[in-house]
Amino acid sequence: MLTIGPALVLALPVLVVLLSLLQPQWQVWQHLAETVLSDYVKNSLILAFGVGAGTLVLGTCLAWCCHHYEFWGRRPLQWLLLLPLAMPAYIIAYSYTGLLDFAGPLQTALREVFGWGYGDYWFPEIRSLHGAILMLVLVLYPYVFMLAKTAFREQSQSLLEVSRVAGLSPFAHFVKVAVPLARPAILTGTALAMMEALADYGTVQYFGISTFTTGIFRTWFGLGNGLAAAQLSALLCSFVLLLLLLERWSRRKVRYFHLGGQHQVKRVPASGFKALWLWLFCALPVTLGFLLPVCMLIHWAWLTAEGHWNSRFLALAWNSFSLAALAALVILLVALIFAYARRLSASRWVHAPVTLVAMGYAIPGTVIAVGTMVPLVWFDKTLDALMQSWLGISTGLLLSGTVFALILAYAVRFLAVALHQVEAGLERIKPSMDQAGRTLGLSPQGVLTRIHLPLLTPSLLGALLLVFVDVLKELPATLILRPFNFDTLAIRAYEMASDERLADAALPALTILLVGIFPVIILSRAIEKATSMETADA
Amino acid sequence: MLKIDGLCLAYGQHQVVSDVSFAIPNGGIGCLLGPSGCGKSSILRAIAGFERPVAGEILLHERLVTSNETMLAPEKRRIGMVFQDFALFPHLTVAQNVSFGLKDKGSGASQARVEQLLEMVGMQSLGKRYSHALSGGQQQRVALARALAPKPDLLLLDEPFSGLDLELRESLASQVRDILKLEGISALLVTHDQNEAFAIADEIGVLHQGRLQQWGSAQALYERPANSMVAGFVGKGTLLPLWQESGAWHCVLGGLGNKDIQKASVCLVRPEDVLMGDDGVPATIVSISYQGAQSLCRVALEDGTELLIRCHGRQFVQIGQAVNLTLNKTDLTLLA
Repeated sequence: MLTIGPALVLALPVLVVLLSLLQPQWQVWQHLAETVLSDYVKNSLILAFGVGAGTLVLGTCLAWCCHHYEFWGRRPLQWLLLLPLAMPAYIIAYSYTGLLDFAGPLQTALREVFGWGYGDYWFPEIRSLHGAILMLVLVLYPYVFMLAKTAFREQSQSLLEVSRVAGLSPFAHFVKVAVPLARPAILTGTALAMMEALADYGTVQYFGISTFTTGIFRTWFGLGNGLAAAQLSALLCSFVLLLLLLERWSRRKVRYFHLGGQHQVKRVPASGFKALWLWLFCALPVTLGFLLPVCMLIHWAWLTAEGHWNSRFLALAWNSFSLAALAALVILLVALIFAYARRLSASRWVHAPVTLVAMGYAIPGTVIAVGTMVPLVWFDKTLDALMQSWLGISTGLLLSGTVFALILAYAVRFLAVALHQVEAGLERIKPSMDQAGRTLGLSPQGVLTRIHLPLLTPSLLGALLLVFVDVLKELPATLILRPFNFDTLAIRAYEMASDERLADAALPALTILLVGIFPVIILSRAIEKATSMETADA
Repeated sequence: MLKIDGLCLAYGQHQVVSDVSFAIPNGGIGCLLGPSGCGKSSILRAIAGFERPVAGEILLHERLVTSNETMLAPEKRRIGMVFQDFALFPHLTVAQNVSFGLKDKGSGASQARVEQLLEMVGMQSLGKRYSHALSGGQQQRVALARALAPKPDLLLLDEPFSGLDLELRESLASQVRDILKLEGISALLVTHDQNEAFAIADEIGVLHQGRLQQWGSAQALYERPANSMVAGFVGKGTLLPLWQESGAWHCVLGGLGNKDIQKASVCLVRPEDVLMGDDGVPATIVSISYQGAQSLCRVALEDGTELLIRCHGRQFVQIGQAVNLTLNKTDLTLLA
């Protein structure tokens, strides 16, 4: 019972979006179908599948190179390959637009070297569907990379030996044994990357591509039809649901495919040209997905620092950080309640609602924003009308357009992140530890403060940090739901970029990026630790 | 010391323990022995106060701690518990783990107690280590020291050796018995391994499907099992069908001496009850398990009945060899 109430609140936005289908807006739909709907569907699908294919191939190959070979620089590269996780897709899109622009450093250099003038040469247009796919692949491949690498590591060393004895080359082993065995993990990572691609708003909006997310925005603000926007959201949700099913299904398979046995990895030493090729291959995504755009941002930030590094920027940062911190604390609290409820009860009525709302991470921010806005505006209007007729006073907008609406939306989307951390931490506190504490004279409160609190603290801090950074990076939900004149770093970067003032977007973007690196460091440390513990066990 | 009367435990509709009663005297070591899922761990958890029984009473030192109305909190029962997974606190060192249940930590007396216990379990030099840097056997010792530190009235041990390898198990089991006797602490052990039970306990209860089958010393269980379940679970042996001939009981190996028993259907033949000689019932050796001082042979009678027999390790036997069997004694255990 404890979980049903909060879960219902968190499920409200998605429920609203789905229930909106009950009131079909035929006219708007007819209009959409005649004009842009086919573009939305086509572009969204091309984007999702392009990103899926790209991350799958790139992530898997990178994971195999780092797993199978030992070469100079493998350890730092393995860590650096996670860095693009810190890069929000819209920020990399801004950087590359500037980099590859007609007036950008690359084209200018080409013109100077070859003496070309305007129109003399062909140059690929980054602000296109292909460009968007490339941008998203560059920042989303770490999902597949991480999961595939873990899966490869869990494959027993003797499997490779069996393949070799059976006459397979290392490459044939990779194709015929390693990848099929790691398939569930690889598909999970791919599904996550595709969800992110469908959820993306910043990149496609900036590149001017009509997808579902930009379409929802346009329907809401352009046509002023909230209901139709909600219905478009529901359609987008059905795509997401397919991906979610794929992800769930492969996660379940991961367990079956998990093979015991020796985990000690014996890497094949590579030297000479082979090592160079491997090094270049692994260094390329890091360079393109992180170093290059960061250099561009630093350059811009340097150029514009004088005009921006002032009290207005500090106020902006304060807005962002305080909002993210507040959201992180609230979400952690909800996650703690859910996690403890699940630990203490075996009832399906406690578990099922939590499992359900923990799927919010798959719902695009735009959809959540629409789903949050509709009921809150309705609530405010109804309350206002009631108060007007009864007491003659106007209550105005109580919930919509407040921080409350923002935090509700963040909670829907990022609860899973916090919940995962807290539950992973709680899992390590075995029930027998509680009981050992009780037999050694602790009251239930004593067990909580003297055993759970010290053991959980790292997980709680990790959850706070992850949610903090996610909120900091979040764009579309903040854009729709923020209180009037309430600007954050992400919003400022977005607005500056929309005004074609890319250089002015750099400082806020860089700030988001720098803070975003911390969780990546923690993540890579956690992976490192898990690896070293396993080797110690073996 | 510990008295359990008519204990019934259930999870939802599923009854796991039915009407179990037994008692352990002061300083005694009891053991619940049974296959996995027989309800033995549930009984232990009920004694610790983690399970509320459907019916029955639990008394510790003649104080009622669990009944329909009473449910004393686990921390007030003065019991110690050693868990199957040891449940050491990973954020504390070995010494901090051991001192966890002591009232005035940091005082000279408690420090002395921690040192005394660590020495007793042979871990005196490892007090500053963390549990993840210890081997399974070492963790086991720390868990035992931690449970013993507050001098509990009763120590509960839940499959304490199941996570350890065979050799370590046997040496630890006898060490634990020595420590318990030295400290004069009553204990109740739960295990599915009869060697463990025999090595530690004064009295053993055999549990099957939630019911206590028999409570008694190891010798009593082995030599006078109460029913065919106990006979099959404790020790090796074969149950042979019986019939009556002119008022005396007979089995396929010959006539038996038990006259005063009216109703029985099988007799228990332990491997050492059968002799291999020149005359007797003909049989063929099917398999041999050589164990050094003796060998355990599986033989088949002409009607296909198989039984285990023990022979001297130096005696020459081989598979397929024809042998003749006679009974070593005639007062076998008869069971319904």
